[in-house]
Amino acid sequence: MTAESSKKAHTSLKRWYLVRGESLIASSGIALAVLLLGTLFFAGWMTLDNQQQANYEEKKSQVEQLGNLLKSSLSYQLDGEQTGQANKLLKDTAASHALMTCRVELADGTIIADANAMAVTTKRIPKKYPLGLSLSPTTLPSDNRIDQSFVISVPNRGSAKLVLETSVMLPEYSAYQTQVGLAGIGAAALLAVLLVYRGIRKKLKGVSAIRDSLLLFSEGEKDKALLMVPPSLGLDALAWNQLLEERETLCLKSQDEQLKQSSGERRSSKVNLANACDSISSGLVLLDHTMNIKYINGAGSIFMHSNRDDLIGKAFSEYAKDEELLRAVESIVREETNQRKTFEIKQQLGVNETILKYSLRPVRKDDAAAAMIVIEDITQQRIAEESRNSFVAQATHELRTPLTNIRLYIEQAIEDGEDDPQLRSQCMNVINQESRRLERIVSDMLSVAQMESGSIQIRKDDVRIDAVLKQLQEEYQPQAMSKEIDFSFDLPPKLPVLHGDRDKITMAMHNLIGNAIKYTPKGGHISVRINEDDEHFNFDVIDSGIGISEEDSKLVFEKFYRANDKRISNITGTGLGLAIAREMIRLHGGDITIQSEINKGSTFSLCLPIEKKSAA
Amino acid sequence: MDIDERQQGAITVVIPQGPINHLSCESFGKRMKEMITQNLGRFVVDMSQVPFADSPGLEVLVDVSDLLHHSGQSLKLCEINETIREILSLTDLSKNFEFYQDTGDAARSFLA
Repeated sequence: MTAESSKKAHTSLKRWYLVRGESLIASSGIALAVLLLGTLFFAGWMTLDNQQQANYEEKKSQVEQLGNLLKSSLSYQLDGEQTGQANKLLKDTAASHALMTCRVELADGTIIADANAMAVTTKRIPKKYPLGLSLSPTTLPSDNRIDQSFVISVPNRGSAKLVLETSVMLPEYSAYQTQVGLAGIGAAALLAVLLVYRGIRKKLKGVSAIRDSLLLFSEGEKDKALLMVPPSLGLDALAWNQLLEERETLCLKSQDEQLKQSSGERRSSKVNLANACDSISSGLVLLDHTMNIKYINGAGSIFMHSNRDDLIGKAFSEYAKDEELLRAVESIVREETNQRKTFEIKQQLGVNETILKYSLRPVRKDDAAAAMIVIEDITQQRIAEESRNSFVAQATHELRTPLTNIRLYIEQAIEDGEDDPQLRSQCMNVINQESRRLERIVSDMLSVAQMESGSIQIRKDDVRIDAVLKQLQEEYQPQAMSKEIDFSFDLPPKLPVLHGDRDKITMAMHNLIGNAIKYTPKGGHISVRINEDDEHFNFDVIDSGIGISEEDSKLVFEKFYRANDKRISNITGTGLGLAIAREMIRLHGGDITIQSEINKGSTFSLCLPIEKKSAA
Repeated sequence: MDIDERQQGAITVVIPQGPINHLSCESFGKRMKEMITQNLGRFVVDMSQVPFADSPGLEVLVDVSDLLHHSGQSLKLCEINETIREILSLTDLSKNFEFYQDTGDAARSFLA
């Protein structure tokens, strides 16, 4: 932890006083410049020193030669005591060789001849020179001064000392030239270094900035803004920035995808739920605690007679006017009651009366929805219930009538039949008829049940029409006679043999004739006409009955349908017969159709296809 | 287009007279939409008097069925003839509708 923090502090410090990207170049650049300048100065100093050394040596040898030359001529002149000439010689020599000092001394320091005549301390030269001549230079030895002494031996007089002194200062111009040259070279070198530094810096700045950025990244910095380098640093920097940019995009994308994946599942399940609610045919309304509509499904909006988008957020009371319902909803919303309640509300929509069932359910959760209302359209159920109830009543009545008859006639036969065989057989006849009627009713009901479940099976028998007709005539002739109805058959000379289910076809024909007798008033007439062509067998029952209105004629084949007509109110029936008859004939591939005129009579036509024997 | 209507219990049977084509489909569709709001979708269409339907007509039928789908129902057609049955199966539109042999069957389907 401490190592890391110190590292961080170090980085921040570095960042603070050096612009990112400078560190690498700055140090190397400064080092290079210092090295270069040092070398230059050293070289300059060495050159100057060497030059001075060479100058010194040269001067020294010159002075030595000069001394040796002067020695002999001075020896001669001193011997001859020609001091004036010696002075002149020394003066000329000093002038021509730029000597600072040029004199002849004795051991006691007396100057006997000098370049400068004024410096001569004695006019008279002693006969004998003092002894103890020292050759050591009078001045301190120095780099820029040559002090040389030579011994002049004058015969018979002794030894004198010739002192030659000269400076070895470099000429002014030479030092100046060297300095200017050095400065020029130094300046040029510095300029060159600067230029090179600038070029390299330009190139390297990007690289070192990227390096800094990388170091920062390795320390855990992930922020793009901090890692980016200035784009002015060149192509490298641009490429680096692009890399960072792409990394950021990728990171964001993957984050986004993760987010989507986690939230997407939830969202999609929500959408599916809404879709599922739309496929319910019951209306579903969710109300919040202020009785505003929070959610409504498709069916609900239809029950509310409004557009769904308009409904959301509106007050429920705007659309539901029933006060009792509103009160109940309110009490649920206010958490006064937790009971479920159901309301059935009748609505008049145009010509139709509609019954809607509202089921109220409290929603007790921290969610804001406080009540759920399920709306169902139960109009058709109600009507079906009613018709089923009336059917049960009718069927019970239908069943009871023959039963009562049977019981009465049995009682009569028991009581009086023993003595009166005629009465007894009459009773038995009635009982027989009534039990057949009972059987028919029960089998009708069974047929309907089978029709509903689709489990009717058609057998394939040969149906001999002549036999069937004979049976029909036997059964219905007495009934027709009792109602004084003219019951006749209009038959072709040859009756066909059909291929089908004998019982079912017979039942359909029974039904048509039975109906005709039932609905034809006294004194009417009924005729049964049969004809056939190559493909169809037609069985028409024509009566002069009460007729059926056009509206009703479309409905007489419906199960449990009984026309709402005063004229038949005292005629009993289950409303099943024609429905069963048509179903049976349709199962054979045929149909029963109706033509009727009210109060004039009806014609029921049964049509069956004839199966070609050859095809079988 | 002439559209007959009759009640069968709580169900309204709509009987369009004549083909559902580009001439008639507009008024037919309008009536259908009225039925959805007025009758809460409690209606069946008796197609016995419709000899054929062209593409605008089919479009209207599908539109109406879609509307009903939003409230969990679908358009109930009964007594359609062979031509229309073939058209619907060739255009792969059959799945949009419910078919019944007659109006009674269709009306009973509301009880289920």
